[in-house]
Amino acid sequence: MWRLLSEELRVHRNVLLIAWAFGVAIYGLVLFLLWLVGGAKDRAELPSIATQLPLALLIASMVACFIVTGTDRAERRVRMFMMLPLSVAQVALARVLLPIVFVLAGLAVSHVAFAGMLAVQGAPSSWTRHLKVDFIGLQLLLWVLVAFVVREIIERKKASGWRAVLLPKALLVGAIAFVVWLEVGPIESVPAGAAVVAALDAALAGSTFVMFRRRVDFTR
Amino acid sequence: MSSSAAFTLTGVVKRYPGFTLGPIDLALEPGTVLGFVGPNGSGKTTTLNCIAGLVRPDAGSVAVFGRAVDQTAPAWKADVGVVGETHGFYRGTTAEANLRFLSSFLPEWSDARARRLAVRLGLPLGKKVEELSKGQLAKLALVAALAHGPRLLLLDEPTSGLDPVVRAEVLDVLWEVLEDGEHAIFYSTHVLSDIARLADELVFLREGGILLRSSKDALTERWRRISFRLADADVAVAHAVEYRRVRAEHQVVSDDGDATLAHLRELGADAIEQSRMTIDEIAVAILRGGNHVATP
Repeated sequence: MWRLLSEELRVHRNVLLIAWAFGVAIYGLVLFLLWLVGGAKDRAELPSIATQLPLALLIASMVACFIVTGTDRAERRVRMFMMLPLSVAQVALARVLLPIVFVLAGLAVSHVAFAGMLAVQGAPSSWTRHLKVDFIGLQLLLWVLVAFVVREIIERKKASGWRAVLLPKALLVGAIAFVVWLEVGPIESVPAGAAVVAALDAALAGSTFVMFRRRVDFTR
Repeated sequence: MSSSAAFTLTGVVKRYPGFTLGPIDLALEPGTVLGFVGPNGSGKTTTLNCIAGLVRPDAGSVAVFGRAVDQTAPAWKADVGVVGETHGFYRGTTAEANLRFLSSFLPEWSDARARRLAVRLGLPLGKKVEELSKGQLAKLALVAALAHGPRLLLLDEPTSGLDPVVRAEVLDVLWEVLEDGEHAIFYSTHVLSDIARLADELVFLREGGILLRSSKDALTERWRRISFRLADADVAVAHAVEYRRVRAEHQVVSDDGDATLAHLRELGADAIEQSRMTIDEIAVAILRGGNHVATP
């Protein structure tokens, strides 16, 4: 499993690096345009806005996840993986871990960038501020995992009918509703919110793993 | 069916909306080339995917070299090479990088064998997969399927859409693979000319069911096209799979030429002429003949 994951990372790492480069470039362009055409107030807030760079890196990581998983699907990667002497569990795990590793890498880079920005700005760096970065990263990961669950629900419905997908569908809708509620709801504690989203991420990843293992068709 | 068979399918059934494959009972002995012939949508690819473990049957069992095709215990896969209609290669990387990827998972992989095959087929290993022509892609799939020395090769329309030159190159390589007499090849196609040279046995499939299994030599020996003259308007001729009358001349396609000739002589037919049939002609007659052929 680790070999498959590391080979996938090796093949796709450029996608992640290019996505980060684009993320930083686009973010820099936005800052430049604000400086160029913005008013005095905008210019005054530029240092504060610059600390949002981690968001650009995390979104870039999420986009890279979608590109890689979409490419793997379009190129029928599962078919090739399943012809290798690997068990279905190993393939399932490697498949679901790939986006998680991407987002975790994005989080690591984001933390470094965030710390750097705060240092340049002379602002105090605290773990609660860093935890917000994690909170955002985990929410973005959730949307990537939602796409995985949807894919498996489609496969399972084809094989076993709509009754077989009621539970995963309920989990999916519940997870999305919960995240939306977190955004607008009463939980103001970032650590609590991050913990809840991490749990939802784990549930979606687990659901993807279980449904992939139960697949009866690996040609798609 | 022996446990050392390259593969055995026992009572395999796979249901899709509007189509059911099976029940299929089929075995392939090592050193044998089995041509799996049928029209589009007859279940050839589904059967192959069941053997390759890519599709789980609804009923029945599949074994490769005596080991159950089980995705939780994947050791059996090292004995199998598959060339399908789709491959799963990384299109953005080179052919060589794809082969390197596969080699890291297959202990029996031989770089020397892969290179020799690539040179033999004129495959440009440095080209990205997305830049390969259809013929080159088929060659890459063949190299990828053969480089770890599998004892069972599953081929699903490997020459589909290829020009005659590339098709001949692919078939030449398969012919060379067979020289050691240890490989078993399951060759699914609807292009009979491809396997007329390679196959020892042919299995004809239609609408998810096996119509007939026979050795290639027996088919070409027994099947005949026979014309004759007889006063009767319409006659029931023994072993006639197809029957047609043009004015006074009767024409039949027989799945047992000698038996049909004997019967015609008993009936008093004259001007009897017979000709051998090509594998293509026989296949068309069998696949048209349907259930009649299934119970010879």
